Amino acid sequence: MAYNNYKYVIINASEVSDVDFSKVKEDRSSLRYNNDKDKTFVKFEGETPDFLNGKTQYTHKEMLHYLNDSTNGWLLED
Amino acid sequence: MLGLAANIQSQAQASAAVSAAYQYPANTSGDFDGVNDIVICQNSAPAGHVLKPTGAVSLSAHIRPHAWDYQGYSSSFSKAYIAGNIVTGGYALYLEQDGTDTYIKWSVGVADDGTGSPGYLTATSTEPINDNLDGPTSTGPFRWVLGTFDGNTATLWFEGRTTVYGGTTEAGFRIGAANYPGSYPTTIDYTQQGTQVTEFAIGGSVQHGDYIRGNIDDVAVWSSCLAESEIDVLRGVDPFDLRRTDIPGYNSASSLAGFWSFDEGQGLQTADLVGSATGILTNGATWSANNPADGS
Repeated sequence: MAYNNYKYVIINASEVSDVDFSKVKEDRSSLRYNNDKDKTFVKFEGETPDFLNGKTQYTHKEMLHYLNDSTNGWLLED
Repeated sequence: MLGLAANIQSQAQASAAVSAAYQYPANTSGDFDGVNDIVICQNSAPAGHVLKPTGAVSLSAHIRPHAWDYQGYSSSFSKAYIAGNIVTGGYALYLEQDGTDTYIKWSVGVADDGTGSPGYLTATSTEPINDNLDGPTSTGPFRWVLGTFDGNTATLWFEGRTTVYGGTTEAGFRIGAANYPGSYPTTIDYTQQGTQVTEFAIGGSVQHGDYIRGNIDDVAVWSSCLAESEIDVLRGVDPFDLRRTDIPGYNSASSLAGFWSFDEGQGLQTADLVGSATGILTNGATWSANNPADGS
């Protein structure tokens, strides 16, 4: 399970322009946003990209827990 | 059949050109993190696309989903898509949670759900499939799941269950059905999808998210409703490979509209070995050495 090695970082939507997409798994067009569209996240393996320094990093387990907590505003209504 | 085989071979060669790493049998599967991993099948959104049949459809996959509640954060999980193109209309196989139980479902959007308006026919497993879900570290088996729709009935099939269906105990495969209650046949509805992005996707929904965590392999779409005789044959195929031409009695290959074997094992694409809807591994979706053939 490769994702056990991933680190996830939540960023503000306004910070997307600072993301070097060659250093993360996502593309600009594939980012997942919260319901308010003011936060998104990226994930990476290995060394922390410079633009993510100082930000909280989550494990896969922690990220799943965060995203699936309905109080955090990421779950969509079908 | 030979013409079909040649066509499939030709398509496979074309796909191999797209993904030079393709090699059979590489025996890998797709690996999904349940956070945002998804495989989006290119150019499959337009109305009339081969992956958007209107009269009948069948969708199958090998799945090895990891348990949703293994670390106690199950309360907000609701749904995880295996594959499909459902938004408003369309079709999909998915898992859905009800309390501490997980059910498997097959939904088909239809032009008339019996009320004169568009709606869904949803076949639900008659019992939870909790014991078929893998744990956080164990290596449970893949299961084959199949949804069929013939214009009247959406039927769900799931390998490995012994259930009672229609008053008879079956050998653990057909586990749910939803019948169209109106004057049939009805048609599969995509008209409400409008301008929404409705590409066929594996491991999640392009529109809804609802990402699955685990392994998926050998996803196939037919623009027909597979007959039970065909399903029985396919159940016995080991390894599961729809490109094989030595499968006796298999006669639905002409309606095979898409097939993603996930055998590349590297790179960011899994070829559509029948059509041209190359699957793009997005957001970190990757490969697993686990596969249905070795039982891991």
